[in-house]
Amino acid sequence: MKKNKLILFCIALLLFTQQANAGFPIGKGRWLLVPTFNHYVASSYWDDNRTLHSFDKSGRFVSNYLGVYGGYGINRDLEFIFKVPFISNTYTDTTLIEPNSGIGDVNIGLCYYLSHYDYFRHLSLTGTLIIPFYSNQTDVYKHTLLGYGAMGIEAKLGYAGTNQKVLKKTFYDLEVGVRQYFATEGPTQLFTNLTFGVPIDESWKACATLRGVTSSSPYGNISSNFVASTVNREYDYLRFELAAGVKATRSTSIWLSVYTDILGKHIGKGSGYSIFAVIKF
Amino acid sequence: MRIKTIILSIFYPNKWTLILATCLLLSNTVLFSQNITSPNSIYVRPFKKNGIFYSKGSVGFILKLLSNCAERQRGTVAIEIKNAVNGIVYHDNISLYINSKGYYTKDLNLGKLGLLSGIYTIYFNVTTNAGNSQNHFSFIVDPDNAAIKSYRPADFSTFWDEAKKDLAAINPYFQVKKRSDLSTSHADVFTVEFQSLDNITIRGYLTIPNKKGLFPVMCMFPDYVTEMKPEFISNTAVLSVNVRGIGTSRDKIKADFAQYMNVDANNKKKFIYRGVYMDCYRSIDFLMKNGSGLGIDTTKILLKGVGQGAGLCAVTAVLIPNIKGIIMERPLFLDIRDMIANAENTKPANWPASAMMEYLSGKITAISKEMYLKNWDYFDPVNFAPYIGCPILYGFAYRSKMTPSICHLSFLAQLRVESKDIITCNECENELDNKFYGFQGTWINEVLNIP
Repeated sequence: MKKNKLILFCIALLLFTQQANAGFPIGKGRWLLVPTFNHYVASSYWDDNRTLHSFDKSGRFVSNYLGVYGGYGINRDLEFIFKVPFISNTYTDTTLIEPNSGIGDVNIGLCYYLSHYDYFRHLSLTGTLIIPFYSNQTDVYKHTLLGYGAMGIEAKLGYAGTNQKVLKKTFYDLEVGVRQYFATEGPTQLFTNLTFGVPIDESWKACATLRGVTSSSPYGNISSNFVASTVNREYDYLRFELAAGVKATRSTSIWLSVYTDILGKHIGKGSGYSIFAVIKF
Repeated sequence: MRIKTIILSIFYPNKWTLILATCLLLSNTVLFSQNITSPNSIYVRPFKKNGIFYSKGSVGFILKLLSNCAERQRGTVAIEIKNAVNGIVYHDNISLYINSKGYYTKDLNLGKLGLLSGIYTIYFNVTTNAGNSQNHFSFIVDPDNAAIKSYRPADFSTFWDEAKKDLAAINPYFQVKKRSDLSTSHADVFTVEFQSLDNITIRGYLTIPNKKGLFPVMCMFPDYVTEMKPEFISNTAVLSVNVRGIGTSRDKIKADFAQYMNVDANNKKKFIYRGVYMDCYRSIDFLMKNGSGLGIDTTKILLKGVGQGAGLCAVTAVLIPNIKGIIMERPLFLDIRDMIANAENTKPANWPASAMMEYLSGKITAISKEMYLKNWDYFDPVNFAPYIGCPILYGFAYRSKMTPSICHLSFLAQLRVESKDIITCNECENELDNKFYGFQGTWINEVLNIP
């Protein structure tokens, strides 16, 4: 059961790593807002040997996320970005109902474009400060913590573009990054998001995304610190996502995505959907 | 199970795999101007983006040679910088040694040369025991302080005020007809017709997205004797204008490719471009007066032109205020004085200067060169440049033989507007590369405030 607690937590944490249009420039003096609703359900987990098990006592973890990701183009090469998440987690089994909700890790940062090449492709470096807007009460919440409860930083290299010759007008957004939390036990996380998209017509687009995360800590998942001992720091997973979007107005498009965890180690296996709008002005 | 193991081996045992894959992908992106020739490939990257150095002290390049042959090479790199009139302003020889399939790099900090404002070309000639390789790169130094050669006539403003007055006396009789046969599922196409100077009928095409709301509009002017067709741009209306003597506006003027530029060039009040400029003026007048009723946001008018059309944009933006921005792609007919001077030193002379010189030679109509140039001074976009008050996107090819680089510098030096973006292509002669077209989309969105 203890293992299950560890497994559940990190799923909610990682749900809000998704950022639409992250690799493409916002534009000088313009805003991008991406309000998002995300629903995730998990009822099983992978153990250390990548073997899948059901949660004990018919356990079920549900996470709802409502947040906004946004950015402002300071100039053509520099953007201010932010993300404010509100999270509601609930764990239930035959003996327990444990809800927890609140503002999660707020992110603020800067994105700098190292090169725009021919302006159909963009190479960017993003630095983000992770600020927890909650404190972990592990005596109350065993399964539904909102995050690591520690400050952190993230550095991400992005390469995004639109193909002009082969597979004309298809687009891609490739990201690799590292995230470090300022706690004795870390963890350090490497992540990647690989997106490939196709325009269906002038209004509709569809894309597929593969997301991978590997998290590690010098202390593993064992710590003398009680709070630290309840969180999952050693895990990895791979998630596949399909999304479709339609241009609703000249400045707004609406997207729906569905996703599922396909591989993992010491982490919950779940699936979910998200609805988000991409608003530019 | 085996497939799963393979996937796992990609993502889990080696967490750096993805990072490496991305780095490999990025490494395929060419950051350098390159010329792959045997036995060495020569790559040149300027210290400043685009090869435009806004201060004399910042001039410099990174030179990189990649050996294409298996043998070791010893030799020299001869470096030569020439100015716009092919005068040598710098020369140096550097010894080099390259291992088999090796490489050689050198930072060339040329700031100490104190190059004067102008356009230059740096030539690299690599000679080794394996053979010879060459490449060159053109660049601009301190464009904001280039010497301004002003040939603007004293009565320049009066001349154009009179032209506008003559145009005002002609009733435009604007006509708009929907063309269902040309319309698409996303845009309605209309033919536009009006009367212009000398009572000549001008025609064009207007495409408007068939959605609700007001759309910004791009007015496109034609290249030299090149017919305009309906143009479609997402979320933007487009007016494509066939000025007099071009495409669908050839009722009265039917000059061919060779003659067009010199029609009545001996009389500035009858010169074809006086009418052409007024055709452009009336096109914008049409949009201002009729745009709102057609679903066009008349506060967001953008002008775009290629070749001759680029100059028409510059002129129109001066004759009519409140233009949001102009896109000048590979301008032609720019700084005619320098263009002809350059052609006189080039054998054979390049078009269009060659056609002007042929006209001046008297084979068609006799007129003195000085008179010809004085007439052109009223029409040369260079003389309009200081009065352009809107953002400008300017793209040109360094290797163009039709418009020598010095002509571009003359125009750019005259610009007083703050918001100017200059995109150059070093390898191009009669076209621009993706860098221009990619940036153009970003620039249009910025200028027209399109989300």
